[in-house]
Order: sequence, then C-alpha cells, then structure tokens
Amino acid sequence: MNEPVILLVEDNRDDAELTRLALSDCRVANQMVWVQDGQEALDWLCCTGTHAERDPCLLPTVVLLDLKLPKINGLEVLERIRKDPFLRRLPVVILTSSKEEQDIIRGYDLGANSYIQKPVDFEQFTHSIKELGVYWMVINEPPPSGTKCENA
Amino acid sequence: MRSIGWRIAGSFGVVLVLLSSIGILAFLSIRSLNSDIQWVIHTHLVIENLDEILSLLTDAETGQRGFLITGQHAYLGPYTSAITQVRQRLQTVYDLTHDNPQQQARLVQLTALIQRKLDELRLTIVLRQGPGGFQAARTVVLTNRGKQIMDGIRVVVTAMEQDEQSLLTQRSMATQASIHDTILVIAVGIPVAFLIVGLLAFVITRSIAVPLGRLTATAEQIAAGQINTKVPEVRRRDEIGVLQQSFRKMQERVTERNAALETSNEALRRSEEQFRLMVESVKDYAIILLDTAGHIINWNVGAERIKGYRADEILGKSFSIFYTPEDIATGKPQYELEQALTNGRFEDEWWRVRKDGSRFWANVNITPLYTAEGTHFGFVKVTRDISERRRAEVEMQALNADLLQRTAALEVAVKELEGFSYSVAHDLRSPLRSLDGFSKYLLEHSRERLNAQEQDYLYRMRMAAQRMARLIDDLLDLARVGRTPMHIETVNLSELATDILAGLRRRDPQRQVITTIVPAMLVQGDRGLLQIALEHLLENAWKFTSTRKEARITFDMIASAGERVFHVQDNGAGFNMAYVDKLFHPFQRLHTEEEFPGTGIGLALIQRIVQRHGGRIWTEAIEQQGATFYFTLGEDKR
Repeated sequence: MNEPVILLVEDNRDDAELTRLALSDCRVANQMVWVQDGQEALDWLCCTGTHAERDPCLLPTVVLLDLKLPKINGLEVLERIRKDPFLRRLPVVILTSSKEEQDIIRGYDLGANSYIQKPVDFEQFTHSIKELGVYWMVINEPPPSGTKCENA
Repeated sequence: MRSIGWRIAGSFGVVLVLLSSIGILAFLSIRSLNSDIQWVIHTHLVIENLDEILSLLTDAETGQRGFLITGQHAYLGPYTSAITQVRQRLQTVYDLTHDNPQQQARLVQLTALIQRKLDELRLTIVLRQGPGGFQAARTVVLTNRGKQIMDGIRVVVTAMEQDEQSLLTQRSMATQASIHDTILVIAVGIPVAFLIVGLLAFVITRSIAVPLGRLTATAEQIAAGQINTKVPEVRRRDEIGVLQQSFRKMQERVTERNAALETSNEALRRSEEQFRLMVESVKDYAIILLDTAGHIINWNVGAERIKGYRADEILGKSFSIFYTPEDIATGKPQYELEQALTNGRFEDEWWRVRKDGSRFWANVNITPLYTAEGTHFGFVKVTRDISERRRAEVEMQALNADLLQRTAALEVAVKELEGFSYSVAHDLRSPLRSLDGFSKYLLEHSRERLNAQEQDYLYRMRMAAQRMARLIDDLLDLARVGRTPMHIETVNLSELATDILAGLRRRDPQRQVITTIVPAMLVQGDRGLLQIALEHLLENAWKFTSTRKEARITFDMIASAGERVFHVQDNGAGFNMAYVDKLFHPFQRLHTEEEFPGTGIGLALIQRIVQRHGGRIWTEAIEQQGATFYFTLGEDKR
C-alpha cells in the first residue's frame, strides 16, 4: 500500500513552492506530487505520456487544481476527470487566484468538490493549505480505490 | 265684470225687443183693420140680400100677374124660381144677423109677411086655374090685400136696411181709426228703432272698435319692428283691458327675450370670433374644411402657409390639388375620404404637394363631419408639415446605426476588459503572493541572520504586497459591480446589516461598538450588490470609529416625499465637508493609510451599486464628530 499523495496542478513555481512550504508545516509535504500543466496532470492521472511508467494503482487522495494553466486549463482537466469512469470520483479542489463568479460557477457545475481562493497573505495562505491538507488527508473518507488497478 | 260680449248681446236684445214690439203693434193694427173691413162687407151683404128679397118678391108678383092675365103657364117660371130664392136669401140674412137680436126680431116679422104674400100669390094662381078663372082671381086681387102686405114688407126691409146702414157708418169709422193706428205705429216705430240701433252702434264702436283700433295700430308698429312702441294705457277690466294687459306683458316678455337673445347672440358672436381667430391663428397646422365631394370650403392661415395658396385661389377647388400626380392617378384622395367615412377617421403620413410643386412630408388627418341629425356634410382635414421631423428621424436612424456600431465596438471593448480583469484576477495576485510568502518565510526562518532594519524592510514588502492585493480585489469588485446583470428580489437590509456587523464583531472582538439597526427594512434590489454596498458602508463606519471609546453605528430609514432614505450614521472620525466632492471618486482618500487603512474604492463601489438601483447617495459629516451616509434605491422610479 503506497502512501497517500496530494496532486498539485500548478504552473507557477513560486506558488508550488509556497504550497510545499505550507504543507511541510503539517508534515504532508513529501506526499505532494507537483505537475506544471493540465496535460501533465492528465498524463500523470492516466499514466500516459511522460508518466506512462508510473504505478497506475496510485491515485491521489485529492487534486489541488489551479485554473489558469498552459495547454489544457484547469476546468478542462476537471471536466475530463469527471468523464473518466476510473477517475470520476476523485476529490478535486480548485485552488486559484481568482474568485471570478464565472469560474466558481463553472467549477462547481463541472463537479469540483471545493473552491478556494489563494490568499496573498502568506499566513492566511498557510492556514488555508493546512486546513485543506488535514481535511482531505485525515478527516475526509476517500472514495474506494478504482477497479482499474486490479484489472491492469 | 262687464264684458264686451254681454254688452253686444244686450244691444242686440234691445234691438230685437224693439223690432218685435213694432211688428206686434203693426200686426195687431192690421188684424183690427181686417176685422173692421169684414164687418163692413158683412153689412153690405145683409143690405144686398134684403134688396134681392124685395126684387124677388116683385119678380114673383110680376109672374103671377102675367099668368093671371094670360093664363099661360110660361109666366109662372119667374114666380117659381123667385119663391125658392126668397127662402134661401131669408136664411142667409138670418145667418148674417144672428148676433143682432133686433134685426132677428124684424126678420121674424119679415118672414111672416113674406109668407102671407106668397100665400096670396098662390091663392090667386090657384083661383085662375080653377072654374072661376080669371074672374075669381081678379076678385082676390081687387081686395088690395096683396098690395098691403107688400107695403108692410117694404117697411120692415127699409127699417132693417136703415139699421144696417147706421152699423155700416159706425164700422167704417172704426176701420178708419185702425188704419190710422197702423200707419202711426209704422211711421213712428221704425225711425225710433233706427235711432236706437244707431245709438247702440255708436256706443259699441266707441267702446270696442276705437281701443281695438289703437291696439291694432300699436301691434302693427311692433310687428314692423318698433318693439318699444308704447302700448296705450286703458284702465278697463273687460276683454280689451285683458287684451291690453296681456299685450303689455307680451311686449315685456318679448323685450326681455330680445335682450336675452341679444346677449346670447353677442356671446355666440364673440365665441365664434374667438374660434375663428383661434383656427386662423394656428400656423403650424393646415385646417381645411371640405364638402362631401372634397371641395375646399374654408381654410386657415396655417393652410395658406403650408400649402402656399391664397384662400381666393383655392376655395371651391378639389383637395386632390395637394396630392402628387402619382397619388391622384391611383385614386388616393378619394380613397382617403372613403376610409374616413368608413372608419370615422383617416390618418396618413405621406408626400403632399405645395403650390410651387415642391413636395413635403405631411401628417394628414381626415375626419368626417356630421350635423346634429347625423347628416354627413363634409370633412375636416388637418395637415402638418413634418418634413423636419422626418429629416430628424432619418438623421436619428443614421445616428442609431452609428450608435449600434459604437455599441458593438463598446461590447468588444467590454469583452476585452472582461478578459483583462480575468487576467488581473489570476496573474497579478500571484507575484504578490510570492513576495509576501517568501518574505514571511525569511522573517521566520532567517530572523537571527537579519538585523532589525532588514527585518523591517521584509515586513514592509509584505505589507506592500498585501495592500496591492487589496487594491486588486477592490478594483475587480468595482469592475464586477458595473457589469454583472441585476436580479431584483426582496432583500431585508436589516438582516444583511445585522449579519455584517456580527462578522465585524467576530473579527475585532476587543472593540466595543453600540449598533442600532431598525428592523425589517425591506427593499427590492440585487441581494449580492446590496450586500457589497452595506459591507463597505458598515466596514467604513466600523473602521472610522476605531479610535472611539464609545463607538456608535446606526442604520435607519426615513420616508420623505414618496421615497425612503436609508442612512448609516457613525460617531467616528468624520471628514471635512470641503472635500465631499472627492469622496466618491475611486482611489480618493481623505485619511492616510496609517490613520485608517483603505484603498479608496469602497465609496465609489457603493455609489456604483446605488446608481445601478436608480438611487442616489450623499453624505453629511463633521470632522471628528462623525459621518452620515444617506442613500435611496430609486423606489419612486420603479
């Protein structure tokens, strides 16, 4: 049984680093997998492309998804996850700079489990990430592991 | 009342009595005369009969003597007939004198004598026929008895005749008197009757005809128009008096009615004049009166001005003169009249032609006219030259097209702006987070390697980043408030305010603020926008009372002139009213960041929200004593 991981989809290195710093405070930092765009996120999740060698049985406990991403944007990534029979129950939290109403509405419509605006204040940011980590890694009961693993 | 009718009847009565009296008198006189004449005739008859009796007796004697002498029976004829007739005459005289006893007595005597005479005559005749013959008869005759009897008869007859003669004299005198009386009655009665009739005629004429004549003359004068001719005054109580009185009253009434008629005529004339002036003075409308066939009967100055014809050129012409040749060819003028008749009105906007042939764009109204009895007698046509308006409309259309183009351009701009704010939202915040985050990390993990000043700089960097982030958030709010569509619903401002203040209390639990919120302030508006506006208003109040020990914030409402004015009042720092104009401009601040932190966006945002609801916002403040923000939500306009 592998360690549970958090998949962070974030194109901004600084934000990724700050997220890592925040998570390190609650000792889940080394369980964070960071991908830099939507395509890579999908590759990682589906074990395709550059991540074809990955253990397909490993699914993240939660996906922290930025919206504004190169190649495939966050909302499209979310849409594909929800359409994939293997991935569709995966908890996805949108973690983004904007709180534009259209983004929030679209996000929830596509089945986001949560929507969080990244605060500029690092203290608040850290606080949010910590809460997030604890909630999804500890409190929340994840959906049962998919069948794809057994079949593969 | 002594009426004329009675008087005339009385007069005729008098005349009737008079004439009747004369007639009766004359009748009586004539009857009396007649009676007298009858008596005279009667007397003459008696005398005649008596004479005849004597004559017959003589005839009988003559016949007897002839027979006696000759013995021939032929002489006995006169004798026989005389005897018969004598008896008849005697009876007649008897009948005629039966009222006279004296004569009757004499008649008896006479009858006896005549009988004796006749007996003597028959005796001699018998004797002549007997054996004695002529001698025997002669002896009897020679006795002279016959002659004596005859003398006795004559005496009696003479006495009777004398009696009758004296009666005749008396009766003739009576007749004379009667004739005299009759003549007298007629000769006197008729002139008297004439006199009385004349007198009555005179009196009646005087009392009826004369005043009636005067009245008639007056009536004729009045009829001829001299309405104020004085009606002669007669103090009478009969029909003439009544007539006069009625006539006077009638005159008064006529005078009154005339005066009233004059007044109303004057009013009518004035109103007609005013109406004429009004219609004539209308210069922007051509008002044209048409007969049923569409000929122009009348028109006003406006028509002259618009159409270019003078009244004398146009009256009597067909109104189709104002139409274009194409319209006349298609029968449009007649069609319009028919439509007006069918629908009670016809309206059109189309080309019309002026006298000089130039065309103008006209608004035309045709209405059929009816008399009070409902007879159609024409049309009124009101034409307006709306060329200017049409030009303006055409220009307006061009402007509209231009506007549409600009709107399209604007929409593109708005789209771009939306894209821009989307980028801002995502991209501008990230660097700030990096700044803040890594500064914080350094401050926490490298504190021992940095001196106080270096630490302070890192702290300032963090503050600057955070302030920048707030600015971006507020700017995005401002942009969003301006463009998001509004969803109007019932919003309880009191509840919103209570929640917001509760949130502020949780954020600053150490602060003591007395808040008063009037309950149940219900408005129609966009919940999200009103939430943002109240948040900023109350946060401002909260912020600017932070230096007060006894801070007060009140949210209340007053109704004035049909609209409700809401206000948020605080006893905080207030501001100088000299700068009130700058207050609602974005980024405009009246305090330093050190005094009261802020971006200067809040009030601009509130104003934007209030304006989107159709309301107004204004403020009153006293420096260091507090501020009151008033706002309405355009409820009177919705």
